[in-house]
Amino acid sequence: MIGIAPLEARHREAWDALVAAYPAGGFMQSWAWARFKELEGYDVVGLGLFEGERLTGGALAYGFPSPAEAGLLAVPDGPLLDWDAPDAGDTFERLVATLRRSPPGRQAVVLRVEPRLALGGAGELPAPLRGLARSPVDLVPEETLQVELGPEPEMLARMKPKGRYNARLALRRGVEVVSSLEPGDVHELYRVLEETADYHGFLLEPKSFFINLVQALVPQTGRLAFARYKGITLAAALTVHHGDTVTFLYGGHVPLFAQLMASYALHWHLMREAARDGYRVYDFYAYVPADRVDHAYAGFSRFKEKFGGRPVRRVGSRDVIFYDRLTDAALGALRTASTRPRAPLTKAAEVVR
Amino acid sequence: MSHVYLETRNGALRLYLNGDLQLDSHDERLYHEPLASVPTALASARAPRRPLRVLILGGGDGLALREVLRFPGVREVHLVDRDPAVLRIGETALAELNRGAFRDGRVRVHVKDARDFLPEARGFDVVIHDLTYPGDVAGAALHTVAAYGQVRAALRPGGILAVNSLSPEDTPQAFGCVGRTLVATGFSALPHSVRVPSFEDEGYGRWGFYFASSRPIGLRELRRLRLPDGVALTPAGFLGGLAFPVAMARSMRVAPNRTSELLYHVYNGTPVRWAEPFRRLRIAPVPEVAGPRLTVADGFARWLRAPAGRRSLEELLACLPLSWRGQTRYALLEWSYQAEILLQQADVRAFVDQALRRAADLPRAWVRELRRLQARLREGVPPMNELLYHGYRVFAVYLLVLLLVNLFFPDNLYAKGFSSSSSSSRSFSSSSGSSSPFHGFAFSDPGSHYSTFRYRPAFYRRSYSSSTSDNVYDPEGKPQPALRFSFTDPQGNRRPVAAMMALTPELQLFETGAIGCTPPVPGYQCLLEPGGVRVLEGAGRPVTTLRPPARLFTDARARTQAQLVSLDRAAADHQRWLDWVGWGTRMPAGQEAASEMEALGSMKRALTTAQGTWSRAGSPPPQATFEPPGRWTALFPGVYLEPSPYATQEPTVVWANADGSLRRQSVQPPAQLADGDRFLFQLLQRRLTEGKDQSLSQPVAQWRAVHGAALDVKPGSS
Repeated sequence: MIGIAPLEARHREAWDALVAAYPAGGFMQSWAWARFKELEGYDVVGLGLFEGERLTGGALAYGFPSPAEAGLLAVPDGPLLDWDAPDAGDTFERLVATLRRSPPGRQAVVLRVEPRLALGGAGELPAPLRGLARSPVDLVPEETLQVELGPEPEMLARMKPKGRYNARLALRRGVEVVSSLEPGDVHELYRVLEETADYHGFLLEPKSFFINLVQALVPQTGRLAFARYKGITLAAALTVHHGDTVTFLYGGHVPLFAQLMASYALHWHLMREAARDGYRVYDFYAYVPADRVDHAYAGFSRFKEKFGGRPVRRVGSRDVIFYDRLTDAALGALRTASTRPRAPLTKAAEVVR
Repeated sequence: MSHVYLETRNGALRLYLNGDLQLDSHDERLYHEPLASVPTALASARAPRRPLRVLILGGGDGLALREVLRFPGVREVHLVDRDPAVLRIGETALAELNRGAFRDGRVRVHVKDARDFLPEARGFDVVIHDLTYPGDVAGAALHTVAAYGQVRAALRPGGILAVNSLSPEDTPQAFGCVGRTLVATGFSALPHSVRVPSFEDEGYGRWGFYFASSRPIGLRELRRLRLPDGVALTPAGFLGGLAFPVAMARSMRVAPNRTSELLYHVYNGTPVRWAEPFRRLRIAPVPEVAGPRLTVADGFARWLRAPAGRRSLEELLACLPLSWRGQTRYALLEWSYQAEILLQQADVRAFVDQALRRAADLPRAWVRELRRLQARLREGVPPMNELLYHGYRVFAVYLLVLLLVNLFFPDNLYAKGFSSSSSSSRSFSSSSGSSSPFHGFAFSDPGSHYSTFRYRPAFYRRSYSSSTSDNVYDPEGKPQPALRFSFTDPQGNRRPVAAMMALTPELQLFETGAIGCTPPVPGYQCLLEPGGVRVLEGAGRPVTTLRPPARLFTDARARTQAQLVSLDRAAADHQRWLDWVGWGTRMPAGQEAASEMEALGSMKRALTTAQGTWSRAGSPPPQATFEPPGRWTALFPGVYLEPSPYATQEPTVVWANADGSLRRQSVQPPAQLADGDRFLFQLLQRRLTEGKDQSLSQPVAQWRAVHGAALDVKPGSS
């Protein structure tokens, strides 16, 4: 039987190697990401699945102290286990039970899991996930667009004509794209992200988040890139390099010199660089199909399509709801509400009485 | 990977801890000189002959230490910092900036938590509180009354405490909380602010300090400050930092930090505009009151105590405490719309079954609701509104917990994907018409159209409104157009009244206790009274009094009596709702709950008046009523069409007068119009248009042809 035990510092390399090689894993299960979440104030618990001494799977789970006294424990990009194994259900249940008992899990009313499993042809879920509640949000986007990397002519051939044209146009017009491994360039990245968020009305994490993020990822697994025109940064990106995939995690462009197509140059640069470095996939990270015209990502998705790529739909995140704890919390809240000061009676109420 | 991040930018060294800027070498003196040089100079002036002992809490970068060491009168400095990584940087990368402070023989470094050091600390002339931003429980705990009490014990009498104290501009309430906490500990506290450009670039606003002592620090002392060579700050420059916008005084009037008050203010503050007029602020002691705290339950309680007008749904969510940087009110409100998915996906049966396992410990009302829910769920999961009907208390709180669990997980607010297919809109819109349960029904008013979950007779649903298209509902639940008159009153007093409820499809109760007949006749008020149906024209002038069928009297007496019983039951039930979930009645929609109580009160007054009138009247004498033969067509209670025995002849109008007589009249127009004739014309016209009685087509046309505009309805009618 597969054993479950806490992951320790000595397991770091083995764990990271496992996550990098695991088809349904992702960088949010990496040790570096866990350290980043700790900087952000999350409580992290790591559990490994062991066959004897051999680490075969597990989960890094994140909880956050909540003033609501009932919280959530999340396993983005995980857990890692063989979902098709005959005992997958049993393994998953035991993993859930152990996470529930962990220090950050003790306050959890919901455990949110999010393995990067592709959705089956008939929309089938792996057996252990069937019956779980669909989460209201996905920490890792359910649908993405993945571009196959390879020799440049092949990548160009797979791009849409408009994408090829605009990427070349940007370079002809003098847009230069540089990559950076300097964490200090986070300030420039943030400036671009802030302008992008303002312009498009998105919520953006505070700057301290990005300082911690860049410090955690760059240069080991993260990279920055800037598309500039005559020294003015028009577009920027933060990518994560993990396994055989480069993921476009954050990026934006300022509303300036739109005719220069700087964003096209930026992504083309990132794809070429990733291919040159031996990565097989460029993941655009969040995408919606063309029929979702009202979605906030519709415009970005049409842009991303110009680089070729195929949509990949994943199972999305699922919630294991601990109904006993949910009930405790709800009944406790009812008691609190019932013992609060009464609403003052209105005059009419007195008349009626 | 360390939480310490040191970079060189534009020629400056910048130190970040956990993403927060601590110093920029280009302007750090603007921070460290007031924080460290000023209290040391004050202590030196107060004890000119005593070698000084200084305690620095935090400050592992060595820069406050640098300032203290400029004073030759300082004999020893104890620096307490729990972070070896910062201390290492202070000894290495920042050594040039701090002038090798850690190599000074007067310095003792303690690598430990300030909370572990303070209990034993005694005899210091200066304590410099140079700790990082109190953005978590551990950080804020060093700014409590208890913690400052330990600092006070560590100081000699008259010793000086300097505290690094957040931004008075961005978080004035938190800044005020630090001051109040100092005063509550027995210090006299002097607030001070500085502009540090690098802090402002990071969006931190102006920065603040407090200078505190058991012996008040006077202006004369400050004007006479003697600062050593190498310090750019001057006494005059320091004094300039004592001026604060007058508007800040109000923001700073908060309770001291005893538990999590400071942390609450750090994340839930309202910035203040740094503008004139300015003056020096005094931190006065405050009465012993509890401050807001960081728990959701306390946020709820605060909202309950908020004044009327500030208890909307948005205010409720606004009272839920923000508890981490990056969590914003806007994000909370916007995210609540995503809750629809978790409501659809979570298994409410599982919750109900779990809850019923604890039935022995639960109040009976909750158990009844849970059992109703459970029974209903056996037939399948109904729509949300119906779930609320069967068990609104427990279900509402179940929804709230699920939502809060998600709202207080930071990654959720910035998640890149939403499983809802219609999650495109990121803009917050008005709560009306939203699909979010927390804007639809979970906390909605029982007086809204989602009110079926409360016991309430159908005809109370919309009893009173100023809308001219309002309805009242009869006992079968059918809407009847509400009547509205310019003036009517059983005593003949002139004032506007409107119908409150339909006693029957033919009778409506007015707020005055009078009963009106329906359907209404344009331009006329028709009141059912024990003596008959009194018809008044628009100006209130009596036209005629008719004898209606007996059933109208019977209905009036019986219905007013029955409604009183139902009304008392509905009011008691509504009061129970108000008592339990009083906060729910303060939503915009829920203001109807409060006004509904008033409406119920108005109805009771009206019913009581009507019931008194009809119970005193007793059964009507036979001569007061008239039962028409079955072949007659009722145009109105007391006015009928008697068919002619001959098919080719027109019917005859029959008036059942209150004096017991029956007066017959042709359907054709009279030569001269008398009072009742215009009234009759209205009845004939209504019979033609609404009753589709084509036999009246020619007579009505004839009335028009003969009398024309003279038939028009007079002003002042309904």
